[in-house]
Amino acid sequence: MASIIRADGLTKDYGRIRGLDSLTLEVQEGEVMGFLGPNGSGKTTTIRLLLDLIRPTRGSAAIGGFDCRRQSLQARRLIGYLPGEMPVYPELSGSAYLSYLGRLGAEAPEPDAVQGLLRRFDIGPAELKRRLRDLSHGMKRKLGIVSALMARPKVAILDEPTSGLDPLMIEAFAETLADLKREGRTTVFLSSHVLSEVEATCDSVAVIRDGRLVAVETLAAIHGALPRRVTVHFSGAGDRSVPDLPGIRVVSRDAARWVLEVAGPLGPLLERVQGLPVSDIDVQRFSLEDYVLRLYADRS
Amino acid sequence: MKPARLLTLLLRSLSRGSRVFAAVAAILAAFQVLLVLIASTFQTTRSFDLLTALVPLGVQQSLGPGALMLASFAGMVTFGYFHPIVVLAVIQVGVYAATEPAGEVEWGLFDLELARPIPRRAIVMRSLVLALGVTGATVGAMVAGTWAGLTLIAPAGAVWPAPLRVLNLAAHLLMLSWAFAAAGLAAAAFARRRGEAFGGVAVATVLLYLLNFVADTWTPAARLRPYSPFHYYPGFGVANGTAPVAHDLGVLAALTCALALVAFWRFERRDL
Repeated sequence: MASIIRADGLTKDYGRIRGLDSLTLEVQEGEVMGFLGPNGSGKTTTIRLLLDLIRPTRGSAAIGGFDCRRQSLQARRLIGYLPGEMPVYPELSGSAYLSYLGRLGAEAPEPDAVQGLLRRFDIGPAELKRRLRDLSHGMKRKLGIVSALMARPKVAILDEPTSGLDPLMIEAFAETLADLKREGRTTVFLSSHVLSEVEATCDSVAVIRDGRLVAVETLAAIHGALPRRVTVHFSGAGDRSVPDLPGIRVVSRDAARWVLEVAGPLGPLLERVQGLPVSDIDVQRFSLEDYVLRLYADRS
Repeated sequence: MKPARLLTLLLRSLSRGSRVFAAVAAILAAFQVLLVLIASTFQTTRSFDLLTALVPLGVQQSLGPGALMLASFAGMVTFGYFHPIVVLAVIQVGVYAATEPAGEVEWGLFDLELARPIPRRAIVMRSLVLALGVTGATVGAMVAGTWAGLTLIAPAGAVWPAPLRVLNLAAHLLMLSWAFAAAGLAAAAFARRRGEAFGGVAVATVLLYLLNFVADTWTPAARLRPYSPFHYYPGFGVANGTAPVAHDLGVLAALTCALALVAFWRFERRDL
């Protein structure tokens, strides 16, 4: 797969403050990448640099092979964008808003695609007729998602897409991403604070902190590398020693249970507990949240 | 950039400000009609002679020959094109229209528009066309008001202002407002808030008006006269045909072009 988004040493200073520091990153075509980081870490700065809304102090970025600075128009032809702080024209109706943004885009939105998105996000004719100033934050957000995806862009850049959405609509968003992934023609680069959602929808994550990229991993690699938490419950009392196996760390131990972190396969542990009065074994996979929190703890 | 996209941007901006623009144009057009009405009253009551007699000789001399022009039907009708409030109002319409880009930065609207394949110069061009257009329409409404007033109200025997003089006045007013609109556009290309750009240019407009007034009335300040754009719109001179029309319009046009170029240059380079 070729990379469709590429940042190379991308740096942005705001006066004396460094907003982004030498970001080098690639997103492969068709990939869904979550871009994670705490508030003020440089996520939105990165996105705005990709869109040529702000100019880099150093470094470069490209989308679809087009330099985001020098060939910005060609690059922006490929993008569907949902801003984090969604600006609206309060006096416009929902349908006028979509129509206006559709006319400014590179490709006219396909009516079927628009209708499909409107149905999925439960935006009916009544909502489309209302002025944006009268709509809730969540409804505006849904219109924003529709406007970003309605022209079936090659690259969707979504800044906090589910902020303000109710659980049903978060589900609808996840389904939309799954469809995009299935179709394989849209690369998605989304920033989010909701790690469970990123874990459920993304192929990979990039983690940024204080303007610096601290990790880029596929979710599969993260899950493979993280230990699992295994709790072994015993039915009878007794002093049992935890087997000394590579990849096992004892978190806590008493007569009734062991709490272990196990990296690698579980087979050797299961073999060693055979014959012991085991009443239950609970295996928990570590979540993306654990990974990100560990990453922050390591770097701080 | 497809012309259709520029038109889309332009119509959106026009739609957003249409009430303000229409209201100012209507008020200024009505003011022109009102002036014709007042002049007609003076004419029918033969009050112009009385008005001339009331102005002391010293005042007449200090204001120059143009001052007495007001004491005539044609002079009073044309006064609406260089009355300070009218001039400042037309200028502010242009500046308001031109400073929209700063408002779009302030409200984050460029995250919608410029995330799409719209070149930045299109935004500047849109605001320039809008500012020139709405001031043109405003001055056009004033001319229409004058014409309608004269046609419907002017008494028989009243000497109408020469059409060329009225058009010259309108052209000066328009060009002066374009120069300030271009200044507003340049200010918006630097500013992050519309209030900063609009307020800054509004204050500068008043200061430059005062500078011109002081330079006209106080000899030691006379050498500062060319630095105020208002110097290139000598209302009385244009109305009585003694002003260097082509020169003044040329200076204002050059100033407009220079400031618009600053706006294009700066907006292309800034963070949004």
